[in-house]
Amino acid sequence: MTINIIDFLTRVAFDLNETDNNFPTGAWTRAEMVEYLNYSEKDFLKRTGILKVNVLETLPAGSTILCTRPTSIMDIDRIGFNGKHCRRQTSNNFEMEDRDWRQKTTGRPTYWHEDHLPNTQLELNKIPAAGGIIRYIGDYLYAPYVSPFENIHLKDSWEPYLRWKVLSLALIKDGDNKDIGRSQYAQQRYLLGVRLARRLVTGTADLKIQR
Amino acid sequence: MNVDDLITHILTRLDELTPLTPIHWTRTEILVFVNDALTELNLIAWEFQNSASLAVDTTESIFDTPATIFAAISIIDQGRYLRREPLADLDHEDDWDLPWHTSSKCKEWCPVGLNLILIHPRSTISKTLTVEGLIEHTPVTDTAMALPVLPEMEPAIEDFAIERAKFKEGGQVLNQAGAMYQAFLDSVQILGGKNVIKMYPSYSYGLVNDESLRDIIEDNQK
Repeated sequence: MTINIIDFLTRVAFDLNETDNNFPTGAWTRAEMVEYLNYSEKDFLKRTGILKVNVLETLPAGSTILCTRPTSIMDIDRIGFNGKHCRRQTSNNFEMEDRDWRQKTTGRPTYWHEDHLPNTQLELNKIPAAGGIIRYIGDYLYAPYVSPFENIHLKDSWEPYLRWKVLSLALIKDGDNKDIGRSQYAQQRYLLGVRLARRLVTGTADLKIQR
Repeated sequence: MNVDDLITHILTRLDELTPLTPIHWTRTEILVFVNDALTELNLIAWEFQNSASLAVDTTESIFDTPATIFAAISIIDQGRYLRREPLADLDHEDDWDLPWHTSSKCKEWCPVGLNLILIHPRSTISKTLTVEGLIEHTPVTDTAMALPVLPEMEPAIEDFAIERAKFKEGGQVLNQAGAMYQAFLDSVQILGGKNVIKMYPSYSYGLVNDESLRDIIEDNQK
């Protein structure tokens, strides 16, 4: 079963003592709640790493060492070139090893770094003379929700935790309905969900809640 | 226990005098909390499991997790369980992505998020593996349908839903209900044979950031 945002907002509204998902008290709005949902989903994906993307791209022969990150990737976990793992380094390591490394860049890429570059870019340590296939593995990022008539992107099992995060954000908002205690509690329940998801991803049995 | 009876029990424990037409909560609201409880029970105790087929081919190492499984737990190739490894370990130990690192027998697997599965070594033949993993429960409805858990889990579901319902009241009411959520976690972990949550969420009301002010409650009465 897929939960749509309207149903999701109805559930949130009842927890906030509102009578329906239009938030008739005026303390919150639907548009605001959709923004909270976008925030929560991004945060959940970032913290848990439950959703990965595996992208293969062809690197033309003799191209630049500068690569553009695929747009669907939120954060890169791993890069491979022609089947070999490229280890992540800092540009400082490259400089320490050889100050002129940028002048000797032809060869097989074995390292990459993303220091002092915009988040959309990364640099390989070598330009592949013959070109090749680069494999990116990273966290997937959905396009944000723009309408309350869309379905929740994540599986139903994670919906209660998105709800906790949305409640946490809604209850910390300044105003008559601000409730720090409930907001902090909702945040803890959200983080418990994050830990349960991490346990499935990493296989680690031991869980502790971050406060 | 049937779900409609369970919801009636929960509303009675919430002091609703007319559980079929409650005042402070709706039956639909409580039903959501019952489904939330089943979800969390599943994530802690791995209660709902099934297996599905995974077709692997000779050209790729990474495959989509079967649609019916939302988190793979183990993978079987010709009756043998594959060893689970983190991606970082595979990278350190072997160049799993090189096209000549192949074998007729797959030996290791690694989850890439929950939506992708990496199989190593890459198979030399197209074949089907079996993935065992967690599935999502079919949401229960407010009818005479049976609760899809063992009877000993029912009180835990009830505790979860009551505490969850009291969230909207906040203050002392939620503070007192916290013990019920702890009872849920204890029951699920003991009955499910898991010991994974060691620090429980706690609710503090009033000014919570300063330990010395913890006793000051919302209406400023000591």
